Amino acid sequence: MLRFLGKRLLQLIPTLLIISLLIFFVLDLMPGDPVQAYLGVGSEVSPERQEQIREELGLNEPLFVQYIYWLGRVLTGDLGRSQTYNSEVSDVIFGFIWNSFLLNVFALIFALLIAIPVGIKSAVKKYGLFDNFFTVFSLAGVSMPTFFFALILIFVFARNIEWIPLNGMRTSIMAVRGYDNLWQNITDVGAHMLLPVTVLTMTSLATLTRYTRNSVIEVINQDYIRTARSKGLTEKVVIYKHAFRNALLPLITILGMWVPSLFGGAILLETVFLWPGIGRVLLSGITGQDLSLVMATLVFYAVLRVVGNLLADVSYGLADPRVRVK
Amino acid sequence: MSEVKVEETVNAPRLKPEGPWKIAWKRFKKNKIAVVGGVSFLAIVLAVIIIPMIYTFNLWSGVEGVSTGQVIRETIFVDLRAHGFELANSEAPPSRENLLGTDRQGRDVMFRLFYGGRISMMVGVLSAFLTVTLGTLVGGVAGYYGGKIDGFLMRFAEIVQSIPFLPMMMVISAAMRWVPSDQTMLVVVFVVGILSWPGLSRVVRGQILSLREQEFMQATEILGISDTSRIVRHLLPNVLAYIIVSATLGMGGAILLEAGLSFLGLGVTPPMPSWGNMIQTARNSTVFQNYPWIWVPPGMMIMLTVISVNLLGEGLRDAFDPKEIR
Repeated sequence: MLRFLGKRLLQLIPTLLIISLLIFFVLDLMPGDPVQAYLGVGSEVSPERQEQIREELGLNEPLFVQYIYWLGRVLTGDLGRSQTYNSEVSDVIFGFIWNSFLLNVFALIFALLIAIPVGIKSAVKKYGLFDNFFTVFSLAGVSMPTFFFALILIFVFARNIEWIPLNGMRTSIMAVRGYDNLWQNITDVGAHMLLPVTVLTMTSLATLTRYTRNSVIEVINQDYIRTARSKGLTEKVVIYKHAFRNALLPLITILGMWVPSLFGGAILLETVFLWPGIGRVLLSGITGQDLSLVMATLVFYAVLRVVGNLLADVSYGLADPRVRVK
Repeated sequence: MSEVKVEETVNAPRLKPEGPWKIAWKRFKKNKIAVVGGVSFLAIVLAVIIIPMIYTFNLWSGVEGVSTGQVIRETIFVDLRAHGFELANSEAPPSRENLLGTDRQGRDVMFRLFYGGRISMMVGVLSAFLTVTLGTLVGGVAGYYGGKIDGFLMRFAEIVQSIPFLPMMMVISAAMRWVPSDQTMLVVVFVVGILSWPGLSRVVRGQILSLREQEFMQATEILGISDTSRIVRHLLPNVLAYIIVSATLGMGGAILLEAGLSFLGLGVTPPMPSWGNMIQTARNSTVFQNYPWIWVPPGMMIMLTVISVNLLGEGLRDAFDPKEIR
């Protein structure tokens, strides 16, 4: 297992290098002059001085050499400076990922708590009323643009229910003045989380329910389930002890992939709810032509994705002894 | 004498076995939900083609100096405010003159909804086409030639798959901001296409790898049939079912992606309408709160379209799936 893990970890390195190189090349096509960005908006500097800065920043080198410089700086922990947030890129990223994480982790917990029982029940009574209802529900869930669902929700709540905050993460007065105590802080942020977490839960619910259902159905048709039934075990034991445990395997794989993505923000939802997460950082970086910020955020997203694939493989190996033997 | 006999047996009426396409079509017809999806999809396609052609009254209502009912087609795509026109009839609620009201520029929402539908559907169709072409090409070549080519191409597919999808799309779109409004749609097609082919390429490769070992392919080799003909006439028809299903489902996905990108201002840019950028107007809080007829209908249309496409796609998948016979 350890050797397998080590091998997979080593494989990550070239993948990430190539992806970051690709990203670097694409970013070079973005509009915006890095020198102007370095100097800040509206600063008057003579063309000679600008040229000098260009030289100092290494911008006259070929693109590939610039990439090597970038890589060298990243390896020493220097991600550059963000002019939109006016601070170090690493501080910006690590400052915002926790907000994204907060939303995603609650959404995932709720989605799992609902999806697993619903999926099992749908599978046991396949094509029953309950199953059909959730089939339609999941279909609508994957076919609706999430941001549109969010907009509708805000639109309805804005007119009817006053105590639910519609966007942002904290009540602005409280955020400026500071909270009286921890409890007030928690309830304020919690209230702001209600709508975004609802939307996120609904969207992950759609896929997770289908996934659980299909994997339970697959298991129920196996011979050992028939054996368990013919031994005279109660249906409850058969389903929850024999079937569900085996049906968990594919679910674990999906979760392995999901865990790193908890840190990546849902870009569209964060935009709709004005949630200060990493997705909003990326969007404002792109609109503000903040190249070092965008570069770092994209590479961060790539790392999440690659690590997710790795975790999926590894967790599958941990859960299924048959895979481990190989 | 014996020759005549052979003729007779050949020409004798016999039961012709049904081809796989016919079986699939029969099974598809039996699946009522899938047929509903297919029919409603066709209806939407016809609507976006026909309605902009016949619905031409009051496209430009309320612009001073232009009598109501005067039709100047181009104006529906132009931001009239930017051209210094005084608008008398902007943000009008739905009425008999303007069935879905007018937007901020006094343009008829109904017309823009269906014209924008053309754009969104085109994005869906063209991106699905590009994805399928790339996926089939890469998967086909990898599976057919195997060895080093296969190793290289699949490694490449894996890397493309690890690229963070939405963030990368946002960056590429941002880098292509210089494209004029009526062509931004092609940018969306391009970004969706080049990032979403790996999934299909893996499936096609897997299928072709296993088909290659079967007897009928050995026969084509012995008969000395050319490589092109072996791929196009003997291998591709066997994976066509996968390709069709993936194209259908991919189209729904691409329509959702267009909506998302345009909502962020990184997809189809106004004044050219698309469902996504019509919803984008909801990011203005006045429009969002007071003029829902501008942004709700496009969201509903997206949902309806994607649900139809998904039903159709899933119906096709079941129809082609040999496991489902029984």
